[in-house]
Amino acid sequence: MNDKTAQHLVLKVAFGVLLGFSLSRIGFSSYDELHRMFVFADWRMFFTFAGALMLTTLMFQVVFRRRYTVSRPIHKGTVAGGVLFGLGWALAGGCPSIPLVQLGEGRVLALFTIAGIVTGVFAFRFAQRNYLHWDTGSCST
Amino acid sequence: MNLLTQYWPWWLGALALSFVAVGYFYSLGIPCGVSGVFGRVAGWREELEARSTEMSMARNAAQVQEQMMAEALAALQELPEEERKQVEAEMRAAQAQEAASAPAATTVVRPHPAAHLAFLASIAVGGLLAALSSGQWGLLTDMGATYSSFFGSGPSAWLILFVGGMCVGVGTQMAGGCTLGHGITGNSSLQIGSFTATAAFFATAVVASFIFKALL
Amino acid sequence: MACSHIPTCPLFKHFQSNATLRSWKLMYCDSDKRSQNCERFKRSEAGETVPPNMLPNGKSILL
Repeated sequence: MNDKTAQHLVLKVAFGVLLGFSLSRIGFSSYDELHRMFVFADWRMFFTFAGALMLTTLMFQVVFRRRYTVSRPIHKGTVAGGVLFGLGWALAGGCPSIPLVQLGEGRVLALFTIAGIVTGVFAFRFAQRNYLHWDTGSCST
Repeated sequence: MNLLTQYWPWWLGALALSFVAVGYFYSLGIPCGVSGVFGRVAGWREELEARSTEMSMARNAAQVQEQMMAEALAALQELPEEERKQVEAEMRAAQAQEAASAPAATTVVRPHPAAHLAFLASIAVGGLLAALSSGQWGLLTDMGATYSSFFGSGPSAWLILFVGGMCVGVGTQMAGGCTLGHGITGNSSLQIGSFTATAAFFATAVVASFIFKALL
Repeated sequence: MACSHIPTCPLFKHFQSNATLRSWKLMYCDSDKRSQNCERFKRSEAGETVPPNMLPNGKSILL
């Protein structure tokens, strides 16, 4: 491993820890809190997300003058995938990072969620490779 | 307000998540997202193969550039005359402005799948540290009161978690991103695909939650 | 309109290095119509992985 690779790994892990820590302290890893957000009983986490989005948009669009942008056109799986993911979120807790956070917090049942995610990921990749052949939207995989 | 034991106010959470999203992209050059990482770990064989090709390309940058140039000239010869003349004219115009040979662009070598696994593990570590520092760590076999009231606390709950996980796994791969990848990174790049995906998953989660609340 | 995959294409930045390499860009990347002929574009549209060393005309860089 050369210097640059080592540096990248350290940064990646540092951000990962910060991400997990923040998600936990915000409450995104708590089903109770998530549910309250989704039924509009508590707006705190929603504002957290909206605020993070506003600030990030400001940083990328203005401060960094669009030097850091991604390309995400609408494609075949956008809506259906979004709906499925939303259902999964309401059932099990959220962005694939959440069960990882929960595991760190000691919630061992998150192992079932992770098992489900891994199964789903493999299942979709298999279907995509052998049956769906949906546009990946990018020449870099 | 004790920031270690109570849930963070919205502005602090916003700052933290934004710092991660921006800092990650800025320092690593790749957008921050978790579902993509799961995908790359699942496809570790293909990742290793592509990585090996990229490493060869990076090591032999000069030869790669030579081949690209030779192939370009060969491909040019195969164009219909009209097009070929046009491309050659544009090439001459460009040539007039700079030296014929320039240093080869560097091929970016992707991370080893193990690095991706380390990232996933570090997220769990973050959760661990948060729970420890707030004095709330403990081996828990439930997902909170709300969850138990909806889905019980035994095998039925475990099955729902697994199925929910599958929905997340399939859904994020299908949509090409998650709350972080589309919700934060994609939306902040003003991408229509991310707006759509985010709207879809938020709306679905809200509707589903109301249904659970009403029926369960 | 240029090829929509330009932001993520690992070869594109190689095409900026000099006039000869820029011909790839002129032949394949500069318009929607031209990008339809690019092998890399065609493969990603069909949901297949694109080898890092595949050129737009389908030939591979030998390593």
